[in-house]
Amino acid sequence: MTNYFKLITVVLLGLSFFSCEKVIQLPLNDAEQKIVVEAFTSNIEGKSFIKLTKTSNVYTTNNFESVSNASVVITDSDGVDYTFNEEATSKGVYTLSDYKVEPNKTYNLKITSEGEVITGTSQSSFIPSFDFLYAGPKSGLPEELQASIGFLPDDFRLIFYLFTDPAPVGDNYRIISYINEERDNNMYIANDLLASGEQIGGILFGTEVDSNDIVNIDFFTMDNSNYDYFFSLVNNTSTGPFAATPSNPVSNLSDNALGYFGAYLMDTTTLVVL
Amino acid sequence: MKSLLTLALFLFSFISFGQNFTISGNIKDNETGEDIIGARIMVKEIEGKGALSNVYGFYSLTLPKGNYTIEYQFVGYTTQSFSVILDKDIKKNVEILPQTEMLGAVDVTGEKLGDNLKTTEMGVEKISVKDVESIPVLFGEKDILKTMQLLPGVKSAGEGNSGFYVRGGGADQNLILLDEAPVYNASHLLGFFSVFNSDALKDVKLYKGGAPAEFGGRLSSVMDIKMKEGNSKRISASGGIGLISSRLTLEAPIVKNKGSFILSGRRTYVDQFLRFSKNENLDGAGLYFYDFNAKANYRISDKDRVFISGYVGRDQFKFGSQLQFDWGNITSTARWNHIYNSKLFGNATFIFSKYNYVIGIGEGINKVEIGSQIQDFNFKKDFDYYLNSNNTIKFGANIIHHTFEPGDINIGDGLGFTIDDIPVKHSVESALYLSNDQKIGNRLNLTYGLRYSNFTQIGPGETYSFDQEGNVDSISYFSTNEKIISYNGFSPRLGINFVLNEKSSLKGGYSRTYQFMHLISNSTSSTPTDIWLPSSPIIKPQIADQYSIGYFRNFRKNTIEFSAEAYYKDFQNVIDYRDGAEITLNPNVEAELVFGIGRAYGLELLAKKRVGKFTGWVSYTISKTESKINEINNNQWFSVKQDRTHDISIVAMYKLNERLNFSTSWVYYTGNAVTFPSGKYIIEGQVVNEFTERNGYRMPDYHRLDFGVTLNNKKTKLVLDVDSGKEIEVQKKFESSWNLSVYNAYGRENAYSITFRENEITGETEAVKLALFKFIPSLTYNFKF
Repeated sequence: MTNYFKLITVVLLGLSFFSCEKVIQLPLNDAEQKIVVEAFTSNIEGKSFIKLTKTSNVYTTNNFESVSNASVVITDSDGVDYTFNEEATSKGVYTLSDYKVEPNKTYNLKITSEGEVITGTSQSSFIPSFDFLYAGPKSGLPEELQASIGFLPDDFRLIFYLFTDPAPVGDNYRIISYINEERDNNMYIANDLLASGEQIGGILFGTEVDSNDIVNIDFFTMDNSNYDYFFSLVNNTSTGPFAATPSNPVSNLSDNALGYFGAYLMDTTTLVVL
Repeated sequence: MKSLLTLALFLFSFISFGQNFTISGNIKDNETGEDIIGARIMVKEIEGKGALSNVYGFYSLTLPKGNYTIEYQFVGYTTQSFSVILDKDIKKNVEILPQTEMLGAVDVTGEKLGDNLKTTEMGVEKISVKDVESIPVLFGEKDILKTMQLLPGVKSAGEGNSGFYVRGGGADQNLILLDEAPVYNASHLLGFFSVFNSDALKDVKLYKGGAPAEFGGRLSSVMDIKMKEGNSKRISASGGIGLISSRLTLEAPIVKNKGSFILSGRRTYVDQFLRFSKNENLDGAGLYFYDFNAKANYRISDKDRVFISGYVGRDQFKFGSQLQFDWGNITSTARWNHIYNSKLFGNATFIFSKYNYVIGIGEGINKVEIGSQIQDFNFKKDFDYYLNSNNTIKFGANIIHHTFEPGDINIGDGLGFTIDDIPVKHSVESALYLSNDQKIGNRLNLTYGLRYSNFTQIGPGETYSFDQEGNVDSISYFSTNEKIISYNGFSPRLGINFVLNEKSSLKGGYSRTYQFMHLISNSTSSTPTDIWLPSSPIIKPQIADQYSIGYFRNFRKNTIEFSAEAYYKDFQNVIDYRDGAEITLNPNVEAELVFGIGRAYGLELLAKKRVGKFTGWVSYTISKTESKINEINNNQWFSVKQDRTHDISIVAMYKLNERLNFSTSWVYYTGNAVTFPSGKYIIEGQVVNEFTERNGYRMPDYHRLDFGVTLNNKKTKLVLDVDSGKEIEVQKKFESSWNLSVYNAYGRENAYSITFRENEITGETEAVKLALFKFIPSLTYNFKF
């Protein structure tokens, strides 16, 4: 009797399957095409661009149409117009070689293309700087900083940063890092709602570095509407049953146009990993 | 308050003058001593006069002086009649005998099985311990709560999700009461098992809206669960040992016929079998749950009876030593019944209830623990006043103190950062109610009542007000017990039943309910991590008005019941989240909320066959639920997540012979409303989904077949009779059976979630479906003695 029972048990359990994934055919509506704006402007010459592309249907390959011959103009709070021109070699990318964002100014973007007008506003604040920036093994950090990341092994190579946030609330930060010229696609953003006037720091998680890698760090400030945009962009790209109800990121462009416009003040640093 | 007084005076104007006497007492099961809820006490000589026993088995019937034959009836029991000379108030306790077999030799009379036509109750589904004999078996157990989901208007939240939806309402809109204590989390283990061992339950009643005035606080339903008291005549035990879970229930008298207790427990050991799974990720995973009920009662005197009960249930999930997640409920109740006189029955209850969860990530000094909890202390006093044979009045008061701890965060010392706990919130919810169940003539039955409720948020605590951008612009501080804000309202309730003829009746109803506690969940599936928040200066109480109408008709001598019910619900102060809201560990989560209105309407059809070798039911619901909120979907009506257009359940049980019976159920429902992309674009080299409307798509349809077969071991044995020298058949004391059941018999991979990703090879976007379970068999050995 016991043997019989064991046999049944094994057979029955062998039949039960646990979760499985499968690609399925799921028809989706095709929304009408819209213009997407990536307007990244900064205080560093040559590091400002406005990229215009179009949306495409979900099931097509990722070949996004670029928007050419658009009129792209930024007006600053002094009323000065800056016209961006399409690059000859990169369709849909508009630049202006000597353009620089200045602290504490408001900038207005106006894009005109195929009869459609998209506008946006962004506020620049101040140029941030690191109190401390380090790339190397954990053991090379000062003692008190090592304690805060106790769970990592000593030889783990990381990028550790510290900066001080000025007192009034309303500052937002972002770090974009490049390892050997390859861009790290993780999103590092922070605001000062819980830590205003204090020192903020941490490591760039998800960035794997080896000894002698060359790391470029772009550290910049942005306004509240840009923080809201990138924060909700992260929610949009994470999927699965425990993700938030999906929605388009909170836009700072007119009529909830897709994309963003940012006037950033940047500090760039290059260092070699120890 | 004035309207409450007016109502009271109106009711008391019905007091008749003349020589009336009352017969009252307690009605119990002859074999176990359990009180019988809802038994019918009829008078043979006067048609249409009768009474129903209350939830403690107490009944009271007032009649003019005279000689009567009183009949005591309940489905599944043999009717008993007694002759009484009613020339003074009489106390009569009765014990009725359960019928042994429902097959063939059953006295099927119109009255017994036509109960559904007589009450004003509509929008109610009821399952009592006798009905349990005829419900399908899932995983070797007869699960009353799971069976409820097979009835019209009640929808399961789906695989992997706990909770259920009633008439389009959210999972937080159901008030689940176990012996009057609120239970916040309705299911274990990814939604498979309900949190109660059905062996310990006596009666489960689900009000789908239009609950009488004694209930309040949730908009969509009240699930009133009564535990058994425990066999007060002899020791008895029942249980089962199965592949996935095992359970045991033990009942015994404390003093025979005066007091008894019941202990009941259950545990799964699914984690032991995860080791056999082909999925490598599941190695080192642990997943189990347990629940335990204990209850004792004692009759102190002729008029007094005390009860004490407790429940603890917990789910534990762990993944190696790095991730643990456990959640569960604890409740305890102390009650005292007192019979003031032959017409007035009272009950006082004191309740403690706690629901919490803890998530642990990492270990040792580097561990992060996040917990959330809600704790209630509750005192209630309820009266049943049997004014006369045409009026039964109920009134009472209720006061609850809630403590909400939305986020208790402990960060290990090794981690070097801290996060503040989210502030604790306190509130007091109280209510007064008065209602009457009145018979007018032979055909019309009315239930009407009024409930007055108040909700006050009190200190210690702080409240925030927010500016346009959602940043805090001012904070107010409150000291202990200082009032922060108070809401109150009247909820009228009305139910009408008009008996058209002996085969059919027409019912209608209206009710208004308030809900002061809200479940905040921003994920597409419900998880135990959703947090409960009280009403506050920013979150107003939700209000629902429900109108319903129904037609009930029985066929073939009441052996086939048919009903059609239609409802319309209006919601105010519906809560949702602004696009891109962040609710995890956010102390200012109220800034992420947006408010609007909602509506739900539907038609529920049910046909049920209750007697014979072949029993079962077919239910079909067609419905719609939608919300309209300024900040979402351009202020256009949009479907809520749990809006399911079609919902079909077919349940069939077939008793082949005394030893073998089969049960099967098939469910089908339209998928949840969900938001899928309608386009895509590129930002910073990453593909981003474009969404054009909220909940504009549907998940694929869900359907599933469950099948089970039960083999009963012989119920009788041959014993040599000493006197006659012959062998006679005697009932065995120890009953046992084997059950084999299959969940999802044809292995349909129903979608749990659908995500979009780029194919690694072709670079094209593809839709990926995640399904949780294919067929799951289970084998259980059940016993009873």
